[in-house]
Amino acid sequence: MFNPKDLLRDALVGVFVILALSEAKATSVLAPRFETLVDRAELIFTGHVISQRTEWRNGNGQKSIVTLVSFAVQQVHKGRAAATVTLQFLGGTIGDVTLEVAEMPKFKAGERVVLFVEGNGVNASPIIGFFHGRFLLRKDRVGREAVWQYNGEPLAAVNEIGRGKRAAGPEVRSVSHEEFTFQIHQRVATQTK
Amino acid sequence: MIAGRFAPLAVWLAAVVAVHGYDFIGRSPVRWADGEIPMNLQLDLTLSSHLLRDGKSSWNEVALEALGLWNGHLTPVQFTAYTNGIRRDGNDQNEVFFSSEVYGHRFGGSVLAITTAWRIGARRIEGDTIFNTAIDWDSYRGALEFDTLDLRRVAIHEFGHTLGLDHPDQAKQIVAAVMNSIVSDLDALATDDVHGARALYPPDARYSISLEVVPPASGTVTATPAPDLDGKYPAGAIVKLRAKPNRRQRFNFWGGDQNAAGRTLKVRVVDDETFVANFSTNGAPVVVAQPRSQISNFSNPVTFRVRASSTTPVTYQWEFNGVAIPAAAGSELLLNFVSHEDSGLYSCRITNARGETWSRPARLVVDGY
Repeated sequence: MFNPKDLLRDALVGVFVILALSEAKATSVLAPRFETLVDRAELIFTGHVISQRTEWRNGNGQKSIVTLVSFAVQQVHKGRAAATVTLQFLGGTIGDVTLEVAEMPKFKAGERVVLFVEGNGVNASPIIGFFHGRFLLRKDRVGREAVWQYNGEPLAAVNEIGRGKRAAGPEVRSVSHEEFTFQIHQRVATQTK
Repeated sequence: MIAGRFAPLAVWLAAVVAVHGYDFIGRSPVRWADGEIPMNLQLDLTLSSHLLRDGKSSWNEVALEALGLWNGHLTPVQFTAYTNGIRRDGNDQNEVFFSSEVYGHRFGGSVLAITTAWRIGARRIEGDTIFNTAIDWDSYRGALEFDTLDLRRVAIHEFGHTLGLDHPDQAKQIVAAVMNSIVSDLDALATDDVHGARALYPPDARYSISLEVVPPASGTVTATPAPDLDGKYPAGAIVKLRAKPNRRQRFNFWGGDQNAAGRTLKVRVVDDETFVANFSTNGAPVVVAQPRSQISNFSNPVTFRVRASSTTPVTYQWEFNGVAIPAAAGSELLLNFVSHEDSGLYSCRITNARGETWSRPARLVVDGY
């Protein structure tokens, strides 16, 4: 049976590709660079998703649905946070009514993330650059907790952030959560000097 | 200043790989019913137009061209454009406009545009595209410039979301596509975009129309043109329905998939559809004020009203989803403390000594808690 994804994978095997890493924008969002993410963030934390719920909202006479995602906070890298942080995202489903917002980040229960937060409850997405300020933490092959970008790419270095998708090529090693948060703290320190 | 911070975009070399990587919004694709997707273009109402770099003199013209690019590859659905000055979110209209906010929320820094999609179950009902007024927009072709954004290519991308397409690159596909999450020098639809749209809207859909007459034998309904030999119509076909009451009968209104007055109804076939022609006897009451559909918050009171004219005394019987409501026998129906179970269709049967007639059904939607 024809499966475009299999065909894609097969077609890419051995294909010579130069990295298309470039400063870039998502069509709807200017992709922020690492420094911008850290500088703009009101709160940066590592945590995991504990629950989600949806509610109707009425803002300026406009009805909308929001999804409230609660995170258990394990580490705060910038700003202040209680043990649980709840972030509000425009969009969601109540009964059979759904408001879908293209490009809005979605979360799964238990997912471990590093989030760069700005304008919670005010902005359509409290994550800077919609999905760009959300980094997924997963164990890599050697059991390290590594950092992955919004597009499923491993984050090889913080200066990759805000650039385009890396084309197929040699496997890249993700930075570890420890390395990533070290870089965040360093940047925060330069801000506060 | 944005320009100094960004290096030029590299070309997507993966474009030479002839594979398909399109992706759809949602786990199971949610698409518009076949037929027109009306788009209310209101871009010129907020930002004044000037001569744009591609020679256009209006933002709506730019959006229209972006819609036309998709239309050129779609058969069962077609974007149609109109301009209506009244704008409101959640009004079942697909609106395209500039704003500094979206549904009462701020865009947030660096957000160019947001496309929303309302749906009930798997049925799309509204999708707005809102461009951020804080961005310096123009319209041009070729290499992307970082200090002035090309509204046309962003619009092409956003209207792809309106159709139901998502980002192939975020689904780990490497293809050249306007629908990728990264804007590039690509300023028109790529093959993968077209394949994605056609996968969502295959060109061969055919649908049937059911016609009902209520009460039976009170009239006839004819459809022009007649369906094809298989009893179906091609998606997008326009069919004219004519209701003709029998002797001593009167046509009241259309129900089913259309709620309208007038003996003739012109419909575009967008799905398997049912149309009900409602008749009554000549001496039956005439509804002069129909009950109105309403949206109410949970636990609020709701009132439906109907007015009828008749030369003889009338009685009323309200119905909920076609079933009589006990003790609901006045021209007003008051529902105290509505709950979600009260959502549905309300109509009123009005009877006098010479016959009976029905009001048009009014829908109640209860939301919130």
